[in-house]
Amino acid sequence: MAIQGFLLAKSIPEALHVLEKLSPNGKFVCGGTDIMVAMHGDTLPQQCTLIDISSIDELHFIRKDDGCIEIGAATSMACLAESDLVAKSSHILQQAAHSVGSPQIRNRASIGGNIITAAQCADTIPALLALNARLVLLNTRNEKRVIPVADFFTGPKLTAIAPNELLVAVRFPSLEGENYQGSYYKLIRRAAVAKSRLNFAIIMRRDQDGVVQDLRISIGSALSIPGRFMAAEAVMIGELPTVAMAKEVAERCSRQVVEQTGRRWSSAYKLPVIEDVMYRQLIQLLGFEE
Amino acid sequence: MIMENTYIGKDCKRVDGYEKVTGQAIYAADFHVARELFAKSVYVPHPHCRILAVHTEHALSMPGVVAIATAKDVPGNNEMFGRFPVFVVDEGKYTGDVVATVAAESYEQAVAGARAVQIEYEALPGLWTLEEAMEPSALPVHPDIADNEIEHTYFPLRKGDLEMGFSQAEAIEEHTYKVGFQDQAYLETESVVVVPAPFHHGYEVYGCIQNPYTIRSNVATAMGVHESQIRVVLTAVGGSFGGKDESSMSIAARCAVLAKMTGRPVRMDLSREESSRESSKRHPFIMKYRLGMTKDGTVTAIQTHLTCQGGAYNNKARFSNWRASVHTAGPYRIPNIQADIHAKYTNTIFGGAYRGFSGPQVLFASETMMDEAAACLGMNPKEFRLKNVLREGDTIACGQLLKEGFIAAPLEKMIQELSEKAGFDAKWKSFREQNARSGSIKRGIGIAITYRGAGLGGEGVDSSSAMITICRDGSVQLHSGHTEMGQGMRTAHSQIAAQALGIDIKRIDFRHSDTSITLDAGPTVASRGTQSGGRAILQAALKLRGELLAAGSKKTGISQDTLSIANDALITKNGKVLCSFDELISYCVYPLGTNLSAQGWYSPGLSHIDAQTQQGDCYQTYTHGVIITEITVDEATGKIAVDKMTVGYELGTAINPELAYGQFVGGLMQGLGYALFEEMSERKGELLSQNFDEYLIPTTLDIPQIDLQLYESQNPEGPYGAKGIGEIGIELAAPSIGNALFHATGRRLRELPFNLERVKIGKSLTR
Repeated sequence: MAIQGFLLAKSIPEALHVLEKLSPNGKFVCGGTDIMVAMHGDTLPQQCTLIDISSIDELHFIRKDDGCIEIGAATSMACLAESDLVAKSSHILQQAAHSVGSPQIRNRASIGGNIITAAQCADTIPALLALNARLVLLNTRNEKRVIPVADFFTGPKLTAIAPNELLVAVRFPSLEGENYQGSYYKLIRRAAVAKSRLNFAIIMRRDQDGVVQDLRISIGSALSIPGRFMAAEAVMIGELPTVAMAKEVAERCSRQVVEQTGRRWSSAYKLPVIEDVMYRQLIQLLGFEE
Repeated sequence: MIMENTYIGKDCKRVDGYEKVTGQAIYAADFHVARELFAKSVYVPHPHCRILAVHTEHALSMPGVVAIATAKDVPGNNEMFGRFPVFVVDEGKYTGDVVATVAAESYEQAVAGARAVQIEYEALPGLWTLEEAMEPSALPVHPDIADNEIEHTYFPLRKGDLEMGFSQAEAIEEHTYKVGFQDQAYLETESVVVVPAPFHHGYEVYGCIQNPYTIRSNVATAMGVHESQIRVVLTAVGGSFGGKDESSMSIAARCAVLAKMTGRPVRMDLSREESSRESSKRHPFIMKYRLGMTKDGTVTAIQTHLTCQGGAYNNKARFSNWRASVHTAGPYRIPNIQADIHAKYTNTIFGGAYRGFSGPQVLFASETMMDEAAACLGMNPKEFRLKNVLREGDTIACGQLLKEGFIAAPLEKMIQELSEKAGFDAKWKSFREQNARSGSIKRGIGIAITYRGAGLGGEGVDSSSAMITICRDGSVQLHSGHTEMGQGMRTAHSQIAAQALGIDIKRIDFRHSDTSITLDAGPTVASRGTQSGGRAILQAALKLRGELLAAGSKKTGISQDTLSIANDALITKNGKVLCSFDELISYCVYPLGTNLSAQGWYSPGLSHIDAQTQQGDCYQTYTHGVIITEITVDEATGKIAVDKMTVGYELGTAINPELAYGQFVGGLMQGLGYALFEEMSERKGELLSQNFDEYLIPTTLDIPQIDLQLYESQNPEGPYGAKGIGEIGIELAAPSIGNALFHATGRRLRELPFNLERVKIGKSLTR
């Protein structure tokens, strides 16, 4: 069996200390919802010792500080989904967290785990990208690093985290009272408990005249590396939106997918769905008739 | 004989419910025997390959490994029913074939040992799809069968004059329908423990098994011993739906070989991936339909050509193809019918039994065809069905006459009542009007109807057994030759026995199946547990009742004709209590010495069916169903949500309406999964859907609003008028959803499942 040991860390310094001691065979585990699957499929590295960080109090929090929302990495999806603060400051993140798996999975799975596993179908990543989130990392020398989530993903299931780092928190500016609208839509094959085929996160701000001041779009399970759709966003920013413009944004999204990933086995399905759903989500946000 | 009705038609609690809900029931994986070894199988390295050499030396030297069995260790016949090998000899024919099985002191050691077995092989080209197997040039899967036709699977049905029927037709519709494998997806995977039993030189098999007598005969064959030397005892079974049969037989035989080699008990618990690989699935079919009708919507002729995919080995298509042929035309008064049916071997996972057998496949085709025919004439599909549906006095496809008190014909009434209830006509109009104005969200309503032969019918002899023993203290032991797999049979049987004996159901203790005690009742399949098995229970109970009344007459000096037993007491017909049940039993034990044990043996007798036409008394009776399904489909994504099912089933008498409801809803949901998501994905014989991350079944959130109505009728053959209902529930979902999809979008899908890709772009995509 691949797992050599299981250690329970009680504090961040203890977790980092153990990580250093076990280097390079230590691996953090929080909710365990991804690691359990890896264990079943026997895909964990040999000689791996798991360091459980789910009991570290300092990693469980949701707070607002100076207009910025900060969430501890071990915070569960259930806590996010139930938090009034998250609902007010970033409704799409609340929706994304609520859409994860089943109640049992949401009770275990953490936001940090969702980010670190970096699965293409991760439910919170598109929302965090649209929220311009930043990740707070701490290393074994107690050095802190803050990195935009947009720079964090380096390849399929690959991230910029160093072997001696722990993700401690996620931060983003609160959207409360800023005239922001958002939409999150997750497409799965059945009503619940399935990997997303695609998930769509949109944040939009318009001024009093209806001119779009800010638009941020991210689509999960579409690109090989999670990211934003800036070319599509640019179509509408600074403009008074029209139906034709929404259509163009949607088309730009599917074009970016082809440009970045090429045509894949799933393209015949995903590209038209990206266009149709993105168009519909925008139309709904703008209050137009479909 | 007056019998107070205490138990029939009552929602009694499940007699085994408490133990299951509180985790006390002992399932196969909970059942351990001292000194047991753990077994792990080594599968073929390629779905179709020649095995050049098997090296077990290194594995045998691994810590804890005690023995490794291969084909040469099988003491009896290495081939079981349906050509299934205990172990592959020189050619692996599909991904679930096993080359060797390792027995070790621990599960982990068995896994390590199995990994250390080395196989030299040569990959061979294979028949990976049914289409390839239908080509005349296809290579044979079994060298002695050049055309890949599975043995005894051709059952032509002929009624009337097909040419004349088509010459009367003013419109002809012709379509091909296709369905794939479906997994039973039971929560508990296969698990057995085989104990060598030296006193009678045989083997005891404990496990979760659907058909203990089938396992007994096949293990006996493999071990070269008599059936009497094999004892199969069931643990609690965590779902089966037809599935725990071929796979259970194979793992029991392998463990028996290892038990002989080691002289120790050997257990095997399949992982989900192993269960997916080597257990049976619903048979795939390609179904060609041609239908002729006049312009007023009267069907004049139907011709079908069905081909079933059997997989590498098969022992069920010989039964399921017959059922498919007989049901091919659906519950309609069609005077001219011709059906031809075949089954092919392929180098793939194999078809077997799954709730409904071949019914859901054929009904998907026939009920979609009926909708297409109605659409072709511009008719309302409900009206089209009403015009053609079987009525009293009609003869069905195999020639049986429908008449009250024999085989009921309730469909016309059910269609009318349920359409009314669902508001079919109004929604048929209003949904289309709304859809014309709506964006990407469309609504649709669809109808499907069915009739289903209950019991084995012409598939085999439908004889069943039971044994009831009353103990000295008045408690009652009940044995059935049938098995409880979660369907609620124990409860239904206990209700029948309690009713017939006039006693409180709490007196009854229902025992596990044990082939050394119970009589061979054949397999527990074909919705026959209550219908046929219940008759055997009733017969045994009535024998005992007769003995008790005779004893009561002796005890009281009152004529037996004026006595009865009810509410745990011997009473007179006008209700006067003469003595308690316990007192009566004491009197039977001493002084009378009455035999308080009785066997029931029920057989409906032989069916008379013409082999060239399938005309004859195919089934004793039929159950009926009508569904009206409402869906919402998102044209942006292709996602279908089933909103509401208004559904009715005719079932004879409901012995336990709550359990009947559970059977129907459970079936509906498995049918919904079949319709929308369930797909065994394969690539050149390799199974890609091996667990529930890839193979999706419905969740509780996928359950729509269900408005279910039971229609009772009289079945003179069933216990207290009951019919078998285990399977009909699964049939109606897929065609009704497809028909609703057509109503919503104008697009017709002729292949299951209606997954996101098929609905959005008309085809499924594979990696």
